[in-house]
Amino acid sequence: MTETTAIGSEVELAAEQLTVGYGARAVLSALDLQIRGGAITAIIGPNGCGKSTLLRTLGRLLKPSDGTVLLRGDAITSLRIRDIAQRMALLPQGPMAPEGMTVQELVARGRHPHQSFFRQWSAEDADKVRAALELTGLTDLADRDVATLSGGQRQRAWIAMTLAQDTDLLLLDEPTTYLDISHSVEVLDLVERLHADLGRTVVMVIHDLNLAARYADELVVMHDGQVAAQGPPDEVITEQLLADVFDLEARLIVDPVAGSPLVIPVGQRYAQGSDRAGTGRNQAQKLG
Amino acid sequence: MTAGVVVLRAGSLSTRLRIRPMVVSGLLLACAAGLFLVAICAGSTWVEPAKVIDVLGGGGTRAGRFQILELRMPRVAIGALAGAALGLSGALMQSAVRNPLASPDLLGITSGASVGAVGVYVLGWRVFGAPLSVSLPLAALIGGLAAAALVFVISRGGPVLGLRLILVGIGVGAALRGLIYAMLVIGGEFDVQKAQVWMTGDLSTESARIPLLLAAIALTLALGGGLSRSLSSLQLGQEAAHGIGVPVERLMLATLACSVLAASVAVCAAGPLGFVALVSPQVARLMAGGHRPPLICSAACGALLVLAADLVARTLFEGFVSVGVLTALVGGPVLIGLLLSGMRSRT
Repeated sequence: MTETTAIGSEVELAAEQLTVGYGARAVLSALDLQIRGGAITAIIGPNGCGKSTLLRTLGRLLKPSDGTVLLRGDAITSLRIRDIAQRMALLPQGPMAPEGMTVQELVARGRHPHQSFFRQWSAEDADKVRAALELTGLTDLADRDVATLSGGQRQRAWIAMTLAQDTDLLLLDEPTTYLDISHSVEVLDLVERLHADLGRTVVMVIHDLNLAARYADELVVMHDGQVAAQGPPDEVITEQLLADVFDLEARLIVDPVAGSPLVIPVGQRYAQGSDRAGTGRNQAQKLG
Repeated sequence: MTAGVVVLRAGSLSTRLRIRPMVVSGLLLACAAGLFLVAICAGSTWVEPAKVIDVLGGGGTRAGRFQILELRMPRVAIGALAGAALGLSGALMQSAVRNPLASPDLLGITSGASVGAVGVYVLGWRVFGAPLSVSLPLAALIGGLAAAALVFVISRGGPVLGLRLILVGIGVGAALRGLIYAMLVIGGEFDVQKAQVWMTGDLSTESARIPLLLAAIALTLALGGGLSRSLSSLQLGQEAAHGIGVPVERLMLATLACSVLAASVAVCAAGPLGFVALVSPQVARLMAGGHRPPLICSAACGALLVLAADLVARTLFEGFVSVGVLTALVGGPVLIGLLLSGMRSRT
């Protein structure tokens, strides 16, 4: 499909002085951001920080009141929506397939930007859909009604649709919402494969800090409509940042499986001065 | 590819043909043609179908030609075409807002057209000083379009265009119906009676309305056919459709404008025929399958519904009951049945 590009080789998507507001209240104010090609970038931040708004503006679902979004240097407002869709796929949060639609029919919709009245179903369309089904492990479920799938399978089917779209860049708005932990991992493993095997650039909004740190090459931390920090997870995630941005007292340890930072929240129950303070350390000593 | 789909390719050109909708629309169109013929045969006296076919083919006696071409055929044709236009209008609107309960009636078109018509009958409105026979359809057309425009303007600017349209449409429709009752109270008894007859569906014999209906149907089919792929993709939801390259806002506005135009022309030609635009697309979709109402099947269903209602009104009720009353009598229960079966399949 696409050739693998070296991480950090090029700026795939950029925001310049981006300001977005619902009415008078600005959700993003004069935000600058650069997203590297070939990497998985996760946008994290507390509720209401503007991370979904940022992703939706990058995908041209929202019009900025000021500033520009550049797709490989082209202002997206100067491109036709169909041309954008040939270069950048966008999966909204919690998408719903029409009643009775099969996995195959859903994935085939991803070919929309490559089709026209005179080119409704080319051999290439069929190939891309077959490849997308195979890569997402949905070939055997192709004729199943999307509504009958598990949450993880359903999200994989939607990602397969964006895969059939055959773009270098993929924007995912909270791909793991409503999914339990095993289905979240199932979906993120797929995202990782898109990146590793196909060299796709992925930008996703994700809530879970530990999963973000584990799967992303780069984190963008949003706070009050601004980028508070950007960089590799082990550099960005610090106890200070968690206190400043998330208003959370937490300890950091190294994820014993992935080696990425693992956030351990303290919370009132185990806070300094409470009855249970130090419980974890004592238990660890006993077990150790 | 998916079962029931045939893909044809020639060089870089390719097309997809879905078998079931094609077969169903063929059958429905054949039924409509048959009922069209029967509707012309039936009347104060029964005319043999062979004779009608002979006249439609250019033969027949002078008296026979007058009876069929001047008296019976225009009324039946206006009914069939208005039904088809309403079916198309409903199919487009339901596809655009992705809601099976959307119909041009809900956007205030029927009420707006009725305000125009009642104004002509009761308050003596004349469009550009034209006589009543010309002012009536014009006032209905203007009223319908104006009401729809009002609903659009009020609904603009929000993120969920479809839902806002329906809610605002219900409000505007209610206000306009209040206006209609107020006008009926003011009017003289004779005028009010005529206005009320119009409001329950009025299939006249004025053949001048036929080309207008044909033009509206042709325009709607051309636009609907051209936008077919985008409308299918829109069924994934506005945001997902945007993501795969559908210009969502433009598509919805163009589709709704076309739907409004087709409905307004139908109402102006035949009076408000309740429930046709709401029910025909859903019946068509049940028969033809798919994820949105199929256009040609919806048109055929609309034509069939109005033809049947008019036939029953003219023969069984000898014209005492208007066609619009019958479409509502048939359409209401059909709609409830659809809703109940839909609810059952979801639980």
